[in-house]
Amino acid sequence: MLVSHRWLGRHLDTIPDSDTVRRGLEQLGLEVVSVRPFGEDFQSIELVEIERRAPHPASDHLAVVTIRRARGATVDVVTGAQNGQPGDRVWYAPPGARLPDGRVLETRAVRGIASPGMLLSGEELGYQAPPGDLWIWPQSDPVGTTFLDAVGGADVIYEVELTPNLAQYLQSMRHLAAELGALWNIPLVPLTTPFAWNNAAVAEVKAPDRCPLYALVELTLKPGAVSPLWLQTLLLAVGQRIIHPAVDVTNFVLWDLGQPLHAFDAERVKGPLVVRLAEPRETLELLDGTAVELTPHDLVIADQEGPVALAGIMGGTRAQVDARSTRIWLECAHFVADPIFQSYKAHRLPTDAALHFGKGTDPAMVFLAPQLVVEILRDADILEAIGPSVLRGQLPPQDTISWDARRISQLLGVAWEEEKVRTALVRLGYHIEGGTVVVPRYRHDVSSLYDLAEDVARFYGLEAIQPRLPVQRTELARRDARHLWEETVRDLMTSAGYTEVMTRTLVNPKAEAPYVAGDRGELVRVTNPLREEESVLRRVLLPSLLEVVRFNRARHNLPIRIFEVGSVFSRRGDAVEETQELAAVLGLEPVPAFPLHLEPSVYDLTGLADFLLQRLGWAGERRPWSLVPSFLHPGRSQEIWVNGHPVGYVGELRPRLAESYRLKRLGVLVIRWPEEIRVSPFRPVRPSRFPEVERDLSLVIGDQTSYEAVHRVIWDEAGDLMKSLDVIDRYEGAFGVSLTVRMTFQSEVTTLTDEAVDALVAKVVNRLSNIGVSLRQ
Amino acid sequence: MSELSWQEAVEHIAQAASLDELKEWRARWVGRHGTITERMKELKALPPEERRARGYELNQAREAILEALAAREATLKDLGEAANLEAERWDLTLPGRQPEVGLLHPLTRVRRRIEDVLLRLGFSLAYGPQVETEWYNFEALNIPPNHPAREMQDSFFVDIPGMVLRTHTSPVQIRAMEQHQGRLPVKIIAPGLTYRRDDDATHVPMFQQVEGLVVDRGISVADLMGTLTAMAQELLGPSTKTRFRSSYFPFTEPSLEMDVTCAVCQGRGCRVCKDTGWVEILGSGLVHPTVLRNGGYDPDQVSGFAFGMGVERIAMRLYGLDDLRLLYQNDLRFLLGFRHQGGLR
Repeated sequence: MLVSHRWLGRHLDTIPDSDTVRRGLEQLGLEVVSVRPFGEDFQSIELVEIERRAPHPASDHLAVVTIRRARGATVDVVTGAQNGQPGDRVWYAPPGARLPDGRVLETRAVRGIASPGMLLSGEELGYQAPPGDLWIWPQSDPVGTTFLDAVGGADVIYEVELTPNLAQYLQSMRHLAAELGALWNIPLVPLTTPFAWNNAAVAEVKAPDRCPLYALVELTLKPGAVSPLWLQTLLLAVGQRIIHPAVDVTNFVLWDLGQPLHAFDAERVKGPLVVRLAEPRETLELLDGTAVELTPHDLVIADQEGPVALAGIMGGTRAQVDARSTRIWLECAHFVADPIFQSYKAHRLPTDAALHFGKGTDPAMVFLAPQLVVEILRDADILEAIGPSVLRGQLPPQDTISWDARRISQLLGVAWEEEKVRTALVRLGYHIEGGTVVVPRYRHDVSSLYDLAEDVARFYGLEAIQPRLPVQRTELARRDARHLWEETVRDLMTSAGYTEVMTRTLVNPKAEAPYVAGDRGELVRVTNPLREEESVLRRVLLPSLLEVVRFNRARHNLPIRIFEVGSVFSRRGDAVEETQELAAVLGLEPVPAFPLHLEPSVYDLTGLADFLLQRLGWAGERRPWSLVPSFLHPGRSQEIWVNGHPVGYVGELRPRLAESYRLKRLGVLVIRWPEEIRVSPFRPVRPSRFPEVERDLSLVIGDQTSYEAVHRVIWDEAGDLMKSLDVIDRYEGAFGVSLTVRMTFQSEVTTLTDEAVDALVAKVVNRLSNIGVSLRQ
Repeated sequence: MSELSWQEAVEHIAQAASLDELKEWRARWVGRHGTITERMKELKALPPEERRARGYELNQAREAILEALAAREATLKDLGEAANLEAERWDLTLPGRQPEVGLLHPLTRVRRRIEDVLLRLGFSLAYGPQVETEWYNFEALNIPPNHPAREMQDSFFVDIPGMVLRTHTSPVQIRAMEQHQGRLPVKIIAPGLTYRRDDDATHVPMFQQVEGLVVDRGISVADLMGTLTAMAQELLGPSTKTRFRSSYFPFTEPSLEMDVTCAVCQGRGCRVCKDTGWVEILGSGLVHPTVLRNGGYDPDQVSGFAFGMGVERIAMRLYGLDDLRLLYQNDLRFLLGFRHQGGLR
């Protein structure tokens, strides 16, 4: 909303400078986006008198006009205007002057005669003037008067950001001025007196619960009139267009009092007018040329032939006022806000009237606005006659709140006396009688002591409140156990060398589908996505990370070691399960580095899985799975189980998929948070004081034998004395695959003899031969 | 050889060039068949008087030679070690091998910092679902279906009736109050993902918020201002100044926005802060009585304050970023750059 400094000033006894006004607006809670001057360009437009007019020697349509400027200087200007005779006073823009449309004037040769600047029409100044090419100035201002002086001087325009609750100021200069005046203790200029109705049967209200007040008055205007200059100037300053006196004056009252008015061409309506709900399927052609189909939720103004306006939002074309209109019906009403809001939302018609009515208006203005219109038109000598008029309905009751100054001070955290709190509220327009606060009718946003506290805070300014820390019973702050796991996993992953990425949860359903393993439920779809690629909530995290791989590989060759802990969603019926998932991706390609090349393999990820489970203390393990999903390498993937449930997998991406992400091989790890997290108990062990004995065995194992089988047999046979079993080498030769394992034995109670250990090893070797594993010769 | 006196031998030993030469000297003088050893064997044949004097002399010579051998051996070993070490010299200007440790995403670091500051102020962590009911996201927060404020937050709707992607973390206010079942105090923060239909340099459709809520007897605007100022100074530095402005949110009354001194110009005014010296950082206010009631609390008996801030906005300020999208692009060149951020773990 644009706010004019001069316009505010019309309502205040005195108005402070623009810096103070800006700060005042901010104290009221309005964000001032910009402050800029208005009318600067009018400073260089000056009033001149025509001394002589001669035809242009080279043209039938042009004239050379000699004008007299201030201090007697004369200038010859070429004009195409038909009017402008010696003795007339006209507006002249000398070279260098800027017109409202942006043109900057210069001296130009017109058919061989130099013409410095130009003589102006009303339109060229942005104004509506009486008919004629040049604006012949009727007032007796002296030659040399600037146009800026003629329109009353420069103005300052504040651009204010509207919040949805701006109802309290009614988007109105009067109500803003009232609040500012309250802050500064500057009295308001009294408003006009109520209009005197003559109770003609020109309107009736059939929906009083939607329209508590409805007034209509017939006005006859003098033909060919234009709006007064001061009014045009204020409207132009706040960005409004000048159209027709009947429309201009309603626009003025809209921004002045916050009261929307509507003018019908009386010749085009068949009265009386009726305020009623629309009939089903009734239609209305609106002023903007569109036709709307109405519903019984819409309130309309109808004449005897049907709707002529969508009440409080926009008029229809049938009763439209145009340049020829002289007899108008002026409507001034109070509509209930919510239904207007819904109506204009439904029809997508956020007109100025709708934005005012939809947020709530001041019903008291219904009595005053018509009188203001009459006065303006009469003063400008535009009003011919006042015809029949009527007011239907009555003022709605005022809201009240129990008076409790102590509670208000308590909510603000201040120790202010009752009188101080009362002063603020009274100055802001509240009446406090006994134990009751009566809320002004225009304050649709006020319903409790909290709202009063806000007004008191605004009145004195927030800097009047001394900040402090709350005094409360001390309680231990708690973290949520389940979410703490997320942080632990993040820390473990970074300590393992992986870098965290953060991707969007909204994904492309086509990209997600191939990576859904197991039962992940249905998709949650966004019904109004920004784009198809972000139209569903992901069920799995991996595809998001793979996109990160693709993005990065397209740009550089940094090693890929990334992870994310993020939300995934599964829909089951109308319920949405939201869980956390860890996904990690490792680029499986040699990383050239000094002093040692790194050769990442899927073993880095299986080891990572074990590391995580161990550090988290989750009772989990890797298991072979019978049906490997098609996006994984069937020979290099395992499932991860926790608490007896599958929670994820580790392995290599199917190579042809990896290639689509610009890498030959990719390793992946995914772990979803188990429903219930149980932590394996751990107790530290005192190390034995007896020596360790090591034995290495080089074993030849068959193609079909897994290390896991060897591992199990060794542990079963070696018994409690074996403390650890490690694979220290793997070798492939003509004989097949050989593994070298190191067994470490130790007793808690005695020094082990070689014989005892050798006997155990012999047992192990014997048992291994049963599963086809022999010692390498 | 034997023409050398033992004193001369000591001198030669002290000059010996290698451990091998020392070995020869040792064998020749004090070995099993060494000169002194042989002379000592001859002592038996001498009369007692002479034997004692001669024995004394030989022992002295032996001691001196052994001492010289030990001394020279130590010297030669030192020299040998030094030569060996010199031969082992490496070029340590080659790059060292750094421990392979990954990096947390900058938004995780900033969120943790915010949580840390507020945990120290006594706020517990609370959470709520991202796919939220319209009741929790709007109605319970005093945003009825026809309320103009619904336009402030352009929502993503999902194909489940009555559900939206939450447009803010504020629904956790209601959930937390419900969980407290009327107990006091309620003092929580709720970090989490939120969604709005926006996408440009300063808005992303998915972003992170941290919500805060305190409900207790006697909570006031002064408490709000004090708490948030303490938080801002802890988070952004002790010299940070705060300023509060009246604002409007449907779920707070009064509503306040907090500005902090512009980090770019230190409050002197610049392009970033539009010459005001201040940058808006969060929205806050006293909990609206309707919201308290919807959470099961009586607004005449208790009061509360709430605040909500964007993690991205704080991150942009802490790291001096001007484009929000960098934070979600996951360019490793950008993310790995954060290894230099010592102060912001």
